[in-house]
Amino acid sequence: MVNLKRIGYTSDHMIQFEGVTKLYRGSQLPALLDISLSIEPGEFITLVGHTGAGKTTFLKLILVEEQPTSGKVSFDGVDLQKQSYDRLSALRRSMGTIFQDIRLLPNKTVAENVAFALEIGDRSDLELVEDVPHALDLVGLRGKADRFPHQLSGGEKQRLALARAIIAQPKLILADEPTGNLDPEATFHVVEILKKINELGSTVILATHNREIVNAIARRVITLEDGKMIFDNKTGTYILDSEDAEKEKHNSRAYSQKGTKNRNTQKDEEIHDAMNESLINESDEDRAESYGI
Amino acid sequence: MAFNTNLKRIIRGGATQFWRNGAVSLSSILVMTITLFVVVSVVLLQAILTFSLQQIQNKVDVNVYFTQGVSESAILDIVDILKNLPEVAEVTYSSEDEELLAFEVRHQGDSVTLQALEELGENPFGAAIAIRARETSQYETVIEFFETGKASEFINASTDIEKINYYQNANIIERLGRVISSVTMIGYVISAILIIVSIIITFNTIRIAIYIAREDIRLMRLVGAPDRIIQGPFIIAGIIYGLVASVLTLVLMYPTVMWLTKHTSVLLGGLNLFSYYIANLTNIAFLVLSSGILIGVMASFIAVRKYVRV
Repeated sequence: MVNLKRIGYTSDHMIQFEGVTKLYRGSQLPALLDISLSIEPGEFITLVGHTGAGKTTFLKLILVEEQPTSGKVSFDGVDLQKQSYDRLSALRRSMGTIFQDIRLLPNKTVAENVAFALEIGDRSDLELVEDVPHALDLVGLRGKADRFPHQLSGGEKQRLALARAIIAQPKLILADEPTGNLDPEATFHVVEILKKINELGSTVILATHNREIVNAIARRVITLEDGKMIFDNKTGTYILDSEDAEKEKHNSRAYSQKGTKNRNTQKDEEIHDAMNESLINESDEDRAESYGI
Repeated sequence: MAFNTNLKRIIRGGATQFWRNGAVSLSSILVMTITLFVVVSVVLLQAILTFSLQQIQNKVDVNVYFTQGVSESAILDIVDILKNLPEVAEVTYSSEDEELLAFEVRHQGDSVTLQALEELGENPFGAAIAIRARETSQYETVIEFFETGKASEFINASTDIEKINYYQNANIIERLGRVISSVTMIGYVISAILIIVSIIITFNTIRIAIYIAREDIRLMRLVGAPDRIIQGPFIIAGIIYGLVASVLTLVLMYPTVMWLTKHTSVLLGGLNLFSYYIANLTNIAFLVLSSGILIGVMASFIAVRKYVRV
């Protein structure tokens, strides 16, 4: 029987941040400050914030590309900071990642880049032959299977990164600005794919500062600003830069001081529900219609 | 997952990597070829050195001149015993008549000397034996054999032996012995330095090649690739560098040795470098292939290990 304590088992949450602070070397300001939250299996999280708010650092801590300066990050109940390289590889294989800077293997073709995600999971050749073309179809790159990444446009690279992240049907998808180089139609398509993957059981954490995307998804929104988590809304919308955001921040601080850190009150939820509704009405449905979905 | 499928993917990955990183592979192969060229050159240099030293050693011998009238059978008995001594490589007996003939041949144009010899009316030469030891340091033992050893059973050293030229040559033989061991030692040191320097350069070239791919290695690591899938293809590429460089070295060595043989045959006397290369091709090929593959594998393994810890 596995000794759960030995492998760092702590809880039943899929992801748990406990008082996590990250301060990069040579930097005065923390990239993340005292973040505590948990994410459950099957959730679709939209991670919102301006550039430099800490979204990428948040995802890097889950992927263990960076280590927290203080606090603890757990995945599937195990402390990510206490894992051996082998165990860490296995954990990372259960995450599909779309990096902000895309990061493809330049000497592998489009099909090989996607197949690599299956190869590392020791999948059979038959699975590779069946699944790779299907994944490329899904992101519209079937016709470019034999091209190399440098022969693709920015948008195509991003779609390839998406195909690589989802093909092995990982438990968790970490998507860092996956629509940065895409036109509105392709953006919507990517969001649809992520939603579909989520419906099939994968937890998705999507970092973005695209208002349209946040509102179209209308699921839990975690908002970061200057490394601090300023909102964590169950069915949130994009509210940064709005007057309401200031109100939210004020309330959030007030409640934080009372010890209920970063939790929304019923009043908060009412505000966001109202915003959510109006924004969905004006954007999501109209856009969906225009894309023929 | 079958072991075969994993291995097949790693080998295919390594071969693809080798092919697609053409410029990097080419530079690694060229540097490795130079290293292996140095290795083979060192082997051939050692052969030349050993052969030359043997030639010099062969020219050193000790001549024992007997006085006239010493029984030929006694001398031949001594020759037989000498031949069985472990220190002795070769013994040549020359009778009184043969010594006279040799003298006459040596002074063919010298009519005064030949006339003087004729006037004597008889053969003034005694028999002689030339002894060649296996090592220059062993001549002392051979001399002892005549003066105090077994030879005294057949002859009287003080009356029957006219001269042993060892004492004239002793100094030269001793100095030559020292030169031979120094040259051999210097040869080994220079060879070792050359090989070490070449290996370090090859190591660094392959490390630079892998340094270029460090971001790819980091990415593979971040998506959860196990060590064997990351390192495997690099090690396979290292093996291919070694194989290609080995074949290239052996092929390039062929005309080089042929040219060297043609231009150094006078200098090297009896040694045919080309025949030596062909005769020892299996051994040289084994040495080159094993060194090439070992350097390729080690360099790749060490370099990738540095970047794989993310």
